Amino acid sequence: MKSLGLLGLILALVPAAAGGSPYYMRLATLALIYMAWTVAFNLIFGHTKQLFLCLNALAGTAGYVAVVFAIQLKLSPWVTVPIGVAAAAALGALFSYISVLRGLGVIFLGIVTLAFSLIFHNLVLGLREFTNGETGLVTRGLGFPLLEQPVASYYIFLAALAVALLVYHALMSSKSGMAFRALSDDELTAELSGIDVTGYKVLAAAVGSAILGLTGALFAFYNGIVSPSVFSFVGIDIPVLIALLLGGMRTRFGPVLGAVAFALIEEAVRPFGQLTVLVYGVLLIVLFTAFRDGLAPLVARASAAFRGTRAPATASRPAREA
Amino acid sequence: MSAILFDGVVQGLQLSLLAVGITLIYGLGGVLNLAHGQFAVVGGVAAALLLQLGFGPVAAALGGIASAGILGLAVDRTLLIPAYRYRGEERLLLGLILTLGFSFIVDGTLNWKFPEFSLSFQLKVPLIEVGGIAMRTASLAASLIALVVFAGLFAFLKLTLAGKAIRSIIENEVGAELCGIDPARTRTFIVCLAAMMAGVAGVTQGLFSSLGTEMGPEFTILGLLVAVVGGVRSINGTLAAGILLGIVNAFASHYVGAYVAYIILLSFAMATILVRPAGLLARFT
Amino acid sequence: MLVRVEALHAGYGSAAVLRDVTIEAHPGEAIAVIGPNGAGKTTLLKVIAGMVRPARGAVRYEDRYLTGLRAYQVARLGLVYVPAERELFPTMTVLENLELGAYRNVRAAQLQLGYVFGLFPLLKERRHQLAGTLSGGEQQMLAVSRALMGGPKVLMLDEPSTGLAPKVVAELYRNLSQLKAAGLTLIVTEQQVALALALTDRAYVLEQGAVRMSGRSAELAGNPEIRKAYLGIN
Repeated sequence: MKSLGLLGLILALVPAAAGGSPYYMRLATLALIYMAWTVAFNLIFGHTKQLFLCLNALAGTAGYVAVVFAIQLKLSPWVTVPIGVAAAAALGALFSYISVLRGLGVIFLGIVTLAFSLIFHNLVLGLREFTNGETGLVTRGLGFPLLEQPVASYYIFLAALAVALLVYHALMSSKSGMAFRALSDDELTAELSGIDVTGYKVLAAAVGSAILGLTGALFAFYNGIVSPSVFSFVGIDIPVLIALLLGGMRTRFGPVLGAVAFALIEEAVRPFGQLTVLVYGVLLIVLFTAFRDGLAPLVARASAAFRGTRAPATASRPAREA
Repeated sequence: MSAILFDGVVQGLQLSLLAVGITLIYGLGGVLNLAHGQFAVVGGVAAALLLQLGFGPVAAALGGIASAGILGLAVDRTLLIPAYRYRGEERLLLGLILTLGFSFIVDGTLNWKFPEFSLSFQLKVPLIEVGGIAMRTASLAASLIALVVFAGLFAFLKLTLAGKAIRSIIENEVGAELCGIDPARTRTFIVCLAAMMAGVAGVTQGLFSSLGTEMGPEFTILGLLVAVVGGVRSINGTLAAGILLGIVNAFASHYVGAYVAYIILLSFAMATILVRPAGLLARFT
Repeated sequence: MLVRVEALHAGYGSAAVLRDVTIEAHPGEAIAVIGPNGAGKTTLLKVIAGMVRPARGAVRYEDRYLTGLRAYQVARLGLVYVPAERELFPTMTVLENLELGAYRNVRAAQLQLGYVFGLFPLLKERRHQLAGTLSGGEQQMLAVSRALMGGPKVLMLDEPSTGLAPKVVAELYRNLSQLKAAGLTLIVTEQQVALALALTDRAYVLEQGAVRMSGRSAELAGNPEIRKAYLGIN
């Protein structure tokens, strides 16, 4: 808990360091958004091995629902954002439930969610009257003035991230946390020990999707425009995957570290333009072969060495058969 | 009506060519190749380059297919080595990520080097009449090529000992090893073969439509869907699934808009996966 | 000696299954490895076959060590393993299964096929039937036949009688006798101890991963401890 507070303090001071530059403020705010999304993915994939390749669709559903309802039904974002979050959470829980019911393996769930991601993309393009298709909708002046100012936005997303991390902390230190650990080790054994594997997987999916939705809906208003490219697979799923791998799966601050590291890498690569995709590719390959455990354990070990204590053991490698 | 059906079959055969490669690589290597679509694109790009260098269309096409095969060989021998060290789900996941990363690398490189690229073959006779129906020669040629490739593949798998060995590995790798079959050598051969089939799909795409360098991911996703619907371990299933999905797509595109058609296709695929996870023609799970 | 396992220690992960096991088989001999469930019989055969890597110890075959060889390489040397699960190819025909068994020695395939069909005429009848549709006994016959197709020097069978009706088991063991008479070296693990001792020349008793007893099968069959523990005779 102490470290959470420390993190919150550090992040709260960033706007001062940014010195009012709108470019850096946006960068920092985006970093917060990706941190929250990565925390969600950590719950869904890191802890319960559910390969959701539709993060963009979940965040985007919440975003579009919140915006379209606000425009069409003239409702306040304070009403439409929760509706969007509920929609995302329901979808996530549904996918999780069906996959457990049908006994879908990791890969099948990945393919089904990938298909959903594509369906989302085409739905947005097809429901032109509501979504304005490729061009998208302007999300200014819809009743959320705070998200139209850079500094206020930053703190709103910091609050969202705080909520995400607190929820994560609460889950992990409760019975659920133990259940997650058990079922990520060996699902069958966990099931046989009486752990309600279905229930916990759906819980992780629902909570993760809710976080995705909350951040996604707020992002839609913050961004000023919502369009298919705002919630794209390559723009959200891939960076989140890389961030989670970089930072360390199943760790508390892995998502935060990973998102920061990824943001820095992205900045460094920006001048290359087209080649950013190439860098994503190299990163994925290098990360998954060399740094399986991510940065968080390294940081933990470094800080432990600094303090003169021993760091906890990292996740063990899988056994290799003959 | 029959024109739409024919269109659907032609497209379906292209999808099947891609999907069969994915099925083979999964069955023998235990890896889901997310870069498979890129093999098709590389094949097409190589063919186009050869055309530019002055080679005739047939030679260029064969050269393109061979290039795809060489890329496949390289991928199996280098990129996938870390994945092959593991087994089962670990290998699957690692292979997925590695091929995804590789797919980005190829996509990024191709789009950067050939931004305005498009491969397209022109035939001297644009239309042919078969049984009273006027068809595009290109479509006919593309489907014939695909059918010939499939016929060859089936003959190879059914009649030759090497082909039976491949089927046996897909069916039961342990049993195959006990018969003295080396799964690793056979796997490299199959990845190469699968890549070449993708190369054929890429070249024929340039025949009846046009091939762009950005089509890699789309090819991969469609191939993946077909492979999974058909059952990732069944080659017959994959062929059937491809044609079926091609027809569904053709009819859907004709009667509703393009976006809705894609949604129908995806939903149909999703539903099939959920109802019959083992695949369309699965018998012994 | 044809096959020799020396001071073998093996297991899965941190669980040790075999401790300091030494077993040998001479050319033309039939060896039985008997013992209760979980004694390590299957693990022993899997180590020899190259499917499991031992933690310590070695496997010798003729004049070479099999250390580090993959399962398919061991099979190609003529040491063929028929697991309890049989590991057939269910959607392929009986004939195709047999053809694949001859993969390591394609030239001898026709000859071996004739031999195998002579031994198991039922398989000849059903040669175009899919292996997955065969009965348990027929599948066992097919598994053994497939192993014979490559002309092995050593045949290892893991609990061949499992799940088979008594009449079928009797016939299977009759056939195994014939194979032994033809000069094939056999290593058989069994829960049906009487059968195993009747078929074989020598036997090892494996309990909790270690060799508790060994000797000529006929003598072991008369041993009061064995009779009580494994043959249910007081």
